[in-house]
Amino acid sequence: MAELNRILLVDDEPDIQEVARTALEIVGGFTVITAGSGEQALELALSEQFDLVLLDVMMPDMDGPQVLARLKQNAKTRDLPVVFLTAKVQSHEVQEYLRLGAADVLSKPFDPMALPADVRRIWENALAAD
Amino acid sequence: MRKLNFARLIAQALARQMVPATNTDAFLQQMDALRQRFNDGLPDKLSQVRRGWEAFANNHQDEAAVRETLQVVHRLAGSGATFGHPQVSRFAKILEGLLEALLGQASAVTDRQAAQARELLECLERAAAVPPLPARSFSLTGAGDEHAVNRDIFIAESDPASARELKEQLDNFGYSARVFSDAATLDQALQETVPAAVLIDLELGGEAFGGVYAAIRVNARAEQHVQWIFLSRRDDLEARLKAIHAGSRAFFLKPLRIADLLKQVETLTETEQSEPYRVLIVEDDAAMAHFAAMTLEQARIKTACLDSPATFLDVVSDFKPELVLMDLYLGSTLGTDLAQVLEQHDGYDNLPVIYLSGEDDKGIHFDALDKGGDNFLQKPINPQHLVQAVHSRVRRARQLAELVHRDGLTGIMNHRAIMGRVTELVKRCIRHKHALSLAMLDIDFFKPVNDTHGHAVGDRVLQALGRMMQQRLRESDLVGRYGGEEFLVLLPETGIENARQVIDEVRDRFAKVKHTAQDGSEFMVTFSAGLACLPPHSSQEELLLAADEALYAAKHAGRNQVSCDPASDAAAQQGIVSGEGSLLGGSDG
Repeated sequence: MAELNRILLVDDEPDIQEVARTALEIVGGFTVITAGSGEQALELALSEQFDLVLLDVMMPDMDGPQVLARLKQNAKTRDLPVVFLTAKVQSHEVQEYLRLGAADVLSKPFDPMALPADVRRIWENALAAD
Repeated sequence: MRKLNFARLIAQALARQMVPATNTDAFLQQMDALRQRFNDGLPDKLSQVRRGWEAFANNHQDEAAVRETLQVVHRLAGSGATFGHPQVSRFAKILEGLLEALLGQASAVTDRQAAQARELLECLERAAAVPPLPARSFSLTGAGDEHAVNRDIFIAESDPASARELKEQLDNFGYSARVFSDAATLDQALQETVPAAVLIDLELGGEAFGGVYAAIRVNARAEQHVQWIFLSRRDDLEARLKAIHAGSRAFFLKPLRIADLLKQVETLTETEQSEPYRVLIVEDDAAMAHFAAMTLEQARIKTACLDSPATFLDVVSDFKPELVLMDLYLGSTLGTDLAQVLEQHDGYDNLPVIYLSGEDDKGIHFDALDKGGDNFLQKPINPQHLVQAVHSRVRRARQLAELVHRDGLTGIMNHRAIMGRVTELVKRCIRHKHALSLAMLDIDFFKPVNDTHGHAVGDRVLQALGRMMQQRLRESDLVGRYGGEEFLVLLPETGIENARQVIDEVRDRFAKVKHTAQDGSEFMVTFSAGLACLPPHSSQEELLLAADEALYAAKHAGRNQVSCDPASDAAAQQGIVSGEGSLLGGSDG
């Protein structure tokens, strides 16, 4: 059976990046690779193998939805589950993310202890939906 | 960083809540360090925000500076609670909304808007100055998204025996009660958890007003609004006043009547789980309206905004607000005039109004209150005051509405209220494809009871039936007085067979109740009932008519019995879930 292992974590804020990475690694036991910008995220996603992407929405230059659109355009990354991690979670915003093809949306601020279980749940759902 | 497979197994167990302590501890230690670092960096970020804001307020052109500020505020909103600063998240989120609105408006920032932004900045700075929550706890309280029902109750009581008994009772009713024997441990726990209510002994620690002083100390420190319920052996005015000064929501005398206490606790926790409050904001300054809406929505209050009075009555009728936040000046229309329109409008005359204004002229305040207002909030508005003012007024309005909807004699819903629920439930059950059974009950030979024993005795019979139904039926079932001696029972998600059993059991019990006449003699009373179900019926009218016909059949067949509408019966037997009632018109009389 497939395992959730490698997660690409994209956030331009170092504090958030670090707390999410720590939680996902120590509590979740996942392997986490981080990116601080949309461009870097794309580069990593296209050159390496990931099981899931956790993606911030508001980032300078290339924002989360733009990154997602580019991932959807590429055959290699088209089916990669992308989860937005964002403070922009009004219902119309969430609907928009899902319309763009996000697997799910997790709201910021988040509970670090609960993050790994949430990510796993979303990943399992995405797998079941295939 | 790769982990050993073994470590991952442990970690996955952790993620599934089977938490080995050592691993959690390691994580929490790291989290504490991260929280500390975030905390240390806060003052810097806040002064960056303040500088950016002042640059913007002084020079509307400097958009780059504001965008940068907005980015910082946005990040604070999204990260605060993760690092133990829920209030930072909350105020930053509100400030973010206001800044976005100001950035989007064509005109320059007004003095009033600037004052509001500064007020928020100050809230943010104060929130940042509070030490972060320890890493084990995570709270979003105040940051929206509070869907979980809070059933935590704290008991602050120095007498271990009473505390234990109280805890047991509360636990029995599904609460999770924790006992604290002194003010210090209570205070400590309140810094980590916000319970639905704190039951506190007035004389905590054996001190005359120990509980009062403890509550006042907590109120002075806490960002959170604690719901205090005082328990007291003293019934004098001084004791009650002191409790009020400490912010008490209720005052109970010892020995405690646990049923009353539970009812109060229930209303306090209900606020969390009941329908969100609905508030209409009437304000012509879009940014200020946006600010008020953000603030209320953070507290899980639904809002609608209106910037001119033109469609006021339409919006009131569509949105059905439970409170109106009204700017005093709306272009050429006065907020007080609109409030008076409400006051003179049938159906809206009890709608609470809170005025928002920059006016500090007390004369205008009094005049406004005289003209249909309930309260005044002066701009710049403190977000916590706004939420509190709205909460207390809507809560009271709901309590009043509850009273208005009760039948004075039996305490169950009156005709209007139960009919409203019929409409609502029929719609909901159709939408969710749930069954809904409806029973119509009528007391047999009630007129002779009144004629023989007098109306006072007849009234007691009605009360007895009302009380019995409330006790015997499930909490989700609804009971109302339909007419003189007629009652209506709604049993959601219940098929006709189950409904028949339930109602027949009530019938059986009620028939055995001995009523006492004025002269001390005893007599017995029965009732007949007609039942119908949705499906097969598919509208309120059909359902009521079918139940009424079934009731008639029960009466006709000799009374003291429950009869089902033939169509509902047939549908149940055939397992049909459609609206076709081929047997309609049949009679079992």
